[in-house]
Amino acid sequence: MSGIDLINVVKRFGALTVIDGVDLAIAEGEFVVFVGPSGCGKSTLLRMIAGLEEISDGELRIAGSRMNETPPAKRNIAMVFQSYALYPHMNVERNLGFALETARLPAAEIRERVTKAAKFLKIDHLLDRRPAQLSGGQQQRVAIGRALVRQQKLFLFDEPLSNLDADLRMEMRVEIARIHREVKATTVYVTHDQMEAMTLADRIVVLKDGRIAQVGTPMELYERPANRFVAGFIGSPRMNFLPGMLVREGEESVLSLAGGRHRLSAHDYAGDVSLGIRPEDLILGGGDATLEAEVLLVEPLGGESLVHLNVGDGRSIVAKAQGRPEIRPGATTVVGWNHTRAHLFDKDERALNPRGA
Amino acid sequence: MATGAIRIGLNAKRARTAWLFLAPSLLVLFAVALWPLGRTFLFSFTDAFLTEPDIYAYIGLENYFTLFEDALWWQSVRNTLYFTVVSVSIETALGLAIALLLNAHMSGRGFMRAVILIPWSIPVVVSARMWQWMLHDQFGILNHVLKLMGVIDHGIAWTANPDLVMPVIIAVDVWITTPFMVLLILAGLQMLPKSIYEAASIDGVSEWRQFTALTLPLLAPSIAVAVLFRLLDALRMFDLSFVLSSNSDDTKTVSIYAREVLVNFQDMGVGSAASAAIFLMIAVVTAIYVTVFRLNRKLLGV
Repeated sequence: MSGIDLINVVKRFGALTVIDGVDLAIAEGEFVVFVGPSGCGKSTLLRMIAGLEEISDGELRIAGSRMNETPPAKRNIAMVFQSYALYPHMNVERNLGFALETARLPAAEIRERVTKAAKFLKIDHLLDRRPAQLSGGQQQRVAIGRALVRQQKLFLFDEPLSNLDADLRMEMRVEIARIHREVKATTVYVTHDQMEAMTLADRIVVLKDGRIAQVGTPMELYERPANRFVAGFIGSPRMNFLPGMLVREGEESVLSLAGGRHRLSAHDYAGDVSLGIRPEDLILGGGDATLEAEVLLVEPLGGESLVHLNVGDGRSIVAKAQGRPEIRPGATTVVGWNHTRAHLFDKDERALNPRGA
Repeated sequence: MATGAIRIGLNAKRARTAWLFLAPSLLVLFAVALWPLGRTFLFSFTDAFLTEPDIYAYIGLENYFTLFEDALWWQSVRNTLYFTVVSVSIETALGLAIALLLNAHMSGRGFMRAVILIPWSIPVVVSARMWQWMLHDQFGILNHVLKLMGVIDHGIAWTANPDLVMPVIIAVDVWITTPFMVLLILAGLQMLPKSIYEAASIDGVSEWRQFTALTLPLLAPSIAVAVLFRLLDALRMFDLSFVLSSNSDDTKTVSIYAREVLVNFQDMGVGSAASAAIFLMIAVVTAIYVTVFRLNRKLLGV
């Protein structure tokens, strides 16, 4: 058993509270991604699990035992750092084997494990090189290899791909997914890139200001964001938001926007709301509800295009369209959406659902 | 090719500008270093005296024979090497220990870093005078304190006792120059990436092994440069020994020997030969040190 339990965990630096009561249970073998904007506490939370930061309050359990006071070395974890943290004066082979050497494993076993990991990560031709002689992607592979050889049940990744260029990032993302599939270790992965989170995670933990904004599978977060923050953070380009007002009219609720009124099924809530619609859910020229819009800009991406639209009041929204739509900047068009694809958030930015849903 | 021609033109122009900027310092260097050095070598082959330096004749290597037959020269060479090896070793070990201590996160670190530089910032002659007074056999505070503590009955003549004077000079030198070592090693320590220590602590590498397997090899270049500086300084040490025990043969360094021949005996020829020999000695020691260190780095794979 090597699950992780965080029970009302708090981290304070002096008067500053960085992690403000996090409760989370990570199952054995699960791939969990902590995601959030910079300063949300995701790296701190990971470092608390690793034992590199002390836990101010609450409890951390690994495989069921309290770990708050356990030194990092005794937590049976392996960690990959953003800066790779390779030993600059050792070649790749010694970098990989150093921890095992320290643990006094027999030389033959060290060689076997190092060779196996190097082959697995396709760095077996680099064993004599020093870190400075490697590219960023190769260094990253060595850093992962160093974690692999220790054969721990728990893997921690701290923004491992953020120093790589876009191509390599994609390649390493696939690689990390492959490693998880084959090693089956419980993995906690920190990133600020929602794309990495979406593609890698079994479950995503979105953090904001030291608290959990939402936990769920990637599709849950995409389809049913619990609040406006998560709705805006997950998905690219980000969700469009329009201000409106929700009022009850008999058995229905009516949403008033700058461009018109729309009848919806009954909501318990009435008052100021924001309407959120993802660019891919906007339909040019149709939908259950429509708005008049002026075309500002069309960005062709090849297979699809991003259409920037002005919907009045100087508010602009982005729609994703297949191919290259035959519209020009300056033209007026109609943009619409289906009610099932629209999200409503109350004035406290919580997601609203129709009564009974 | 046209582009090639332009590039060469640009490079030549850059080189010209570089020489232009270098010229003043090269000129000064020639005037104050190279010229006197050349003159020293020249005079070392003559019978010139300081009273009438313009009248001299070339006498070949005779000054060097005189020098190398002088037992006092060889004693000063031994003194200098002994002083250098012992003082630099102690300063390096102590400097490393204090630098590690200051690098640890503790309160008052900035204050300690400033305070520790005080001995280094005092001119050596002033420090030497100060210690001379503190070490005085009748009025010195050191003897006074030792007497109060009941360690000794009567004052020790620290700088007059032939067995004590060299250790005393080494101790004062350690007091003066350890801060310099601390500063250089601390700068090296602060350049080491913190994350490798975090990685090592997660990988179960003990603190001691982190020190021997990570800190020391990574710090070696910084330590080597600091030691080289101190080595050059120590090999031509003059002031400390001159102030604390000017007439003692037990602490006579090669620099003091050269000055004595040149100024006290007015013998420019032998004095210049001694100076030239010192120059060569320092050059050889430096060359050996640099070569050995480079080999070591290759072997260690730093």
